[in-house]
Amino acid sequence: MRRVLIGFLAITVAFSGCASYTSTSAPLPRAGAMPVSQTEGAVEVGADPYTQTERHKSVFGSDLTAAGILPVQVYLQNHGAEKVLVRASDMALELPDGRRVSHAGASAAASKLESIGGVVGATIAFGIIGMLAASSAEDKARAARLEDYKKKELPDTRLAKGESGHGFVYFIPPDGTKNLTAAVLLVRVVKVDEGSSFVTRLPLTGLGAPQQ
Amino acid sequence: MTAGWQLRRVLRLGALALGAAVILIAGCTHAIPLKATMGEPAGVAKVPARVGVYYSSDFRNYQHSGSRAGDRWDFPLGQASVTLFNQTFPMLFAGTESVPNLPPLSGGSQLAAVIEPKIEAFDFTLPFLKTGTYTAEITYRFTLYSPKGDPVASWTVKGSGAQKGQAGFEFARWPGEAADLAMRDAATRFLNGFAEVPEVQPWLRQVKASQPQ
Repeated sequence: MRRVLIGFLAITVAFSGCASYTSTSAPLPRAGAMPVSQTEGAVEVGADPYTQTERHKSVFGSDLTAAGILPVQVYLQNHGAEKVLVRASDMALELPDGRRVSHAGASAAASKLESIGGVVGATIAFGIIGMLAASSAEDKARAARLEDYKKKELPDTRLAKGESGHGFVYFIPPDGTKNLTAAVLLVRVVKVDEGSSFVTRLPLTGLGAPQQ
Repeated sequence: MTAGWQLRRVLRLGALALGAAVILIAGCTHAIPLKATMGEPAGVAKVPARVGVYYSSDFRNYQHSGSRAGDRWDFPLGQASVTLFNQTFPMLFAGTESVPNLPPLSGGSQLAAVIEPKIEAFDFTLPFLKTGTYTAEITYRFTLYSPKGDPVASWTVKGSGAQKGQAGFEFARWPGEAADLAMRDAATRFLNGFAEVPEVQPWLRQVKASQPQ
């Protein structure tokens, strides 16, 4: 019995480190320091598309490009007197061929990174105890990843004069999308008091193609 | 025991093993049951207008099929959403009426607007063990049209649900309950947030102004 317990504990300890997710903060964007930015009306919109694997790994814990996800960090600042609202759900990427890719929620992005490989491997190697330990670790990692991706996502942002906001917007371009160099980020800005809106277009110059 | 009998036995066992392997690899398809019931949340201010409700056939027949853990999970979200919004819209508007198409409406219509819901996104997760937590998230897009057919407002509402599972042989129940919670959460947020949508507010002012004093 003692041997079984010791074996179980050893496997649990071994697998708890196998599938883990550690949340890391993204660098705070600053006004005027975004790779692409545009001011329309009195609203400044900046964007930083995350295309480099190293940045993905340090901020999101995985290579999102390999999973077909493009995170774009968005910075907003209202210089005018009128209150404005910007929603991630109103954003889209306009591809060079005219197709539009709507934003994908944090849960859609996080679920693209789910894997059962570790659990299968653990089950083959250690049987039922390995499966229990690995699946529990995988569940925790998945929940932590989802929570972190949601925390980093740009919320519906209402900005009064002088206020700023930022966050990530996730896009999942269709499989085989090779050339995003000329993609344009479309950001709709709603004037809260009037209920009218306008769209700011940000060409994401220099954006690399996701590796398929 | 003859050699022929032994060969038949080996072949029979081989066929059984192959059958079992095919069943294991092929996985199952789960039709998820959805209840789509809605309780009236407190503090919803009724809009004094009669509004048309348009459900496109894409919306009515929307089904989300996702593969998880080697199985297919079919959520009949469109059908359930129609049931849900048939309960939800009358909680917000003084009157509702199902319309067969989007505006412009035929002459003589007393509708102040037409609202159309769409399912923009749905996602669900399964725990590795049945006793873990099942989650679901749904995003609806609502578009409000004027009687002439001009879009007045278009916005999204997200709802999420989490349901702890139990050991046993019910595989479809817990993902279904998580999806039900997500749909109900979205409908509640729609009711509570409708008057806060900036693009809706000018229409609301107009509706209130047209009411007899």
